[in-house]
Amino acid sequence: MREIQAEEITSVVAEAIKNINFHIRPDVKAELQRALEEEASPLGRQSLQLLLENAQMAAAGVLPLCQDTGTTVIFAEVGQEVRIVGASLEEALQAGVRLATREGRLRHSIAVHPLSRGNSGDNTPAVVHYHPIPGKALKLFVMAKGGGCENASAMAMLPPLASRHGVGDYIVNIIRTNGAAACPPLIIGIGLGGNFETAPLLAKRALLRKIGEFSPDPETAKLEKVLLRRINELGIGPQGWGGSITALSVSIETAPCHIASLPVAVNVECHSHRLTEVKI
Amino acid sequence: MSATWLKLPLEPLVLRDLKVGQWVNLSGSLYTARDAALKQIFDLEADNKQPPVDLKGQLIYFVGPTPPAPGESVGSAGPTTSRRMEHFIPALIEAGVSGIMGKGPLSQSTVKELQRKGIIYLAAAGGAGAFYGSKVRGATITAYEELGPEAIYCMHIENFPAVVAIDLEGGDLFEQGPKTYRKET
Repeated sequence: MREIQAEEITSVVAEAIKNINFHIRPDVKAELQRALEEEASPLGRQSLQLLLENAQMAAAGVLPLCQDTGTTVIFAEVGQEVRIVGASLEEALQAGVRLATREGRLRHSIAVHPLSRGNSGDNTPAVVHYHPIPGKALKLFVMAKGGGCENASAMAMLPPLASRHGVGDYIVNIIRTNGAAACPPLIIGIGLGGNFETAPLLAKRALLRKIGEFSPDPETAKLEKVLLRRINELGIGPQGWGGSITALSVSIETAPCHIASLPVAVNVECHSHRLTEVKI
Repeated sequence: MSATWLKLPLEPLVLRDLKVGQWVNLSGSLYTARDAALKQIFDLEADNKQPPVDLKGQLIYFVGPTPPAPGESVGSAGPTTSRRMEHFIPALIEAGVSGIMGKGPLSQSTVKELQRKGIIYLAAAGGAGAFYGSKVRGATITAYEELGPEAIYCMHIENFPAVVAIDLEGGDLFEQGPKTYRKET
């Protein structure tokens, strides 16, 4: 067994959260620069220019990229030969969120109860998904997910024999209705298949993929390209002010499903796309 | 980009000249509000009580900033989704605001209502929190301090760019912009 100190995990998670809130991902920056060159609308280009300037200012480490510093979402891939010492893995991760919130002066954005709405005051709890993996590594995907774009997300249980086009219509309609309010240009994660609880999780997982990479499965990659084109043809554009670039990428993850079902989930992500991967 | 310089609070006369898609550069003071504070104002209005802040003639900015660095008044301060505030907009109209600012579209009925009352809607660029935070020169909490980031701040901004999204003729950027670039067959 390999032993990892809980304190080390806490400090790595805190650094990751601070890092993503102040530093734009290189792939996102490259995509925004490409969008700036390709965008047809002058207003759209001006808004993209403003976002690049924003990223530059945030990199100084004082002002986060976005005031919505998000819900922390962590995908923890836990090696089966790893033992955490000093506290539970869950405690170590949540302590990392608390530390990052304090040190990074992040906004307190978590309500402890959906109806009474009291603020947790430290951005806990993070949403954590655990996956056992063989070996001695602990891999963490750490994401700061904005509320505005999460609100634009949706899922449906479609009829099992819906055509590719029909599935596409559902997805494109979600973006048509909700996209402009979700801080476009968007990054779109789609979960196809699974069941009622796994489809949204697949959609979130699809967001972990590097921007600009398509699915290794040719059929899925083809659908991703078609959807990206269709979504950009909506004309929503950067900020929803009209333009040719509404989305930077569409990623689809699939899973087997019941013969009676075709679950589809659309997880909408804003252009800030605060995500990193750390390995301990 | 060429922008029209506007002083806050907004002069009612200049509002008429603002057109959809036009950049404005704002300087002066405004009030912030978002979900939780607006709910409280809305509930007060429903009971025929005055809101804790006189919003007459003011621009209301939908924002919940991050905490300030030492020596600063706020941290990042970009716009939040305006659509979520639609339910409370009648209360703001009742309170006599001159304009609202946030991100994203508003429904057709709200667009009509704003136009009828001569209220402007400005769109700031969503996700530009650091940029907009740097345009805030000072901020004090005016009401609902217990709401943390959702408190009402009186904010002094300088050289703060936004786009006219709904003008007094009922023009709507979120309707007209996408229509211009739509390629769907």
